Amino acid sequence: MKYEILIEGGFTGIPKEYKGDIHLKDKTKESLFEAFEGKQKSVNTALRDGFQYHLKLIDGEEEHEARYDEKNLPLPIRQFIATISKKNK
Amino acid sequence: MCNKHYCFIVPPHILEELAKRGNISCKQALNDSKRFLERRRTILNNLLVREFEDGNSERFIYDSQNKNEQRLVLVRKEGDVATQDETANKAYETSGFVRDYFKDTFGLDSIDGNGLDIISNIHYGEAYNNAFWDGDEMTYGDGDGKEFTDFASAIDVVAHELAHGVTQFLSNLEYQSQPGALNEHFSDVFGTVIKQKYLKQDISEADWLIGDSVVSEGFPGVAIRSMKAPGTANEFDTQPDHMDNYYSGSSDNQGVHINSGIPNKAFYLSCLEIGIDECALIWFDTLKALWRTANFNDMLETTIATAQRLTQEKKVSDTAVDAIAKSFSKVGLTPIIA
Repeated sequence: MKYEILIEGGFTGIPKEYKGDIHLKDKTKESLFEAFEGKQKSVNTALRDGFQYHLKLIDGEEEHEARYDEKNLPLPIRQFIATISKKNK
Repeated sequence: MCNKHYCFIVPPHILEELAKRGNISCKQALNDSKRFLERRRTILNNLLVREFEDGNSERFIYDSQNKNEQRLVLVRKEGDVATQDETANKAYETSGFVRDYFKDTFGLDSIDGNGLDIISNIHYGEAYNNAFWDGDEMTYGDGDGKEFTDFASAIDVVAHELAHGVTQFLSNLEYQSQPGALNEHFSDVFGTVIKQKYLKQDISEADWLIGDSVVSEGFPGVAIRSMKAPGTANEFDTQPDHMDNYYSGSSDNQGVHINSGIPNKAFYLSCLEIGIDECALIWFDTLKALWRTANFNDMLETTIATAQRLTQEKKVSDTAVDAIAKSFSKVGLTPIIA
């Protein structure tokens, strides 16, 4: 599966970008895609210095793209970003 | 000419241009139309700010235990003795220092002027390189230990985040483009002012850096931002120090952490001329007078008008207006002085 992650904002204002390929177990992938398709919590307009996350995942014909902020990022997607972040350290 | 919810016969940018060229009647018309708009915006701001419960300006420190959850475990509250956790103690101490600065200097009772309790969440997330204000409370990560460390222990970070709360209740500057850059600017202003007070420095001793104590050895720079020399704090620092280099892209909510370098530099230059205490007072009163969509020119006009008023009231020196006008001119923002 191909991924593109852009993390912007934050107190530091320093963006982080990750692009690459990753193999995920079917169950992990399923919960990740379900999180994309789930109803997004409302944006917190009072958030200051929160991270903004822009994600794009491509798995064969399937493509998912979404934007989140610190307060409405679904847990499976947060865990996926953490995995990628650790992998790129 | 109609601009969203308000209309003018003469477009405001033409009035502004004629006013800049010295046309008194245009300046009057511009000021009148702005006054009407400000009144409308004040009403709108009040509608957009939610109702908050009254508090007693008390501090509450919660430990997120490296989860992405807030208000998880209360580890210290107002009046409690110190805990074993140094981060909790530092967050308690620094948030108290910031609260007391606003109270003692400007008479502001906590973040909202109405005794709102001050909630801090520490140890948020795993290796989390950030601190934020979310409309109700502050949240701090421990940093990854490689590039960043303990955000809750840094006085300027705590003051910066708490000042976002103050801005929310005073002018509610929206968080994009120039109003957003001003929102960041005011947080950096009170971050640096309070840091100097905390460290008992005068302006000649101060480093004018923001976030210097949260960067670790692996970070390619000395701090996150520099008020004295925007764009030089680290390898990623793209802050301009002049309108000629204004960032007009879409990243970072249209450059809220980038273009703040321009007013930041003007603040630094103003402090060199009239001192940090007079500047802090002028900037605080300016923040009270601004509105949700104020841009750089609005802020400059308001700052000049505020400085004029405070000069008449003998609260700042006679040279304040001139010093501020010159400082903003040096960053490419020229004021109209009535």
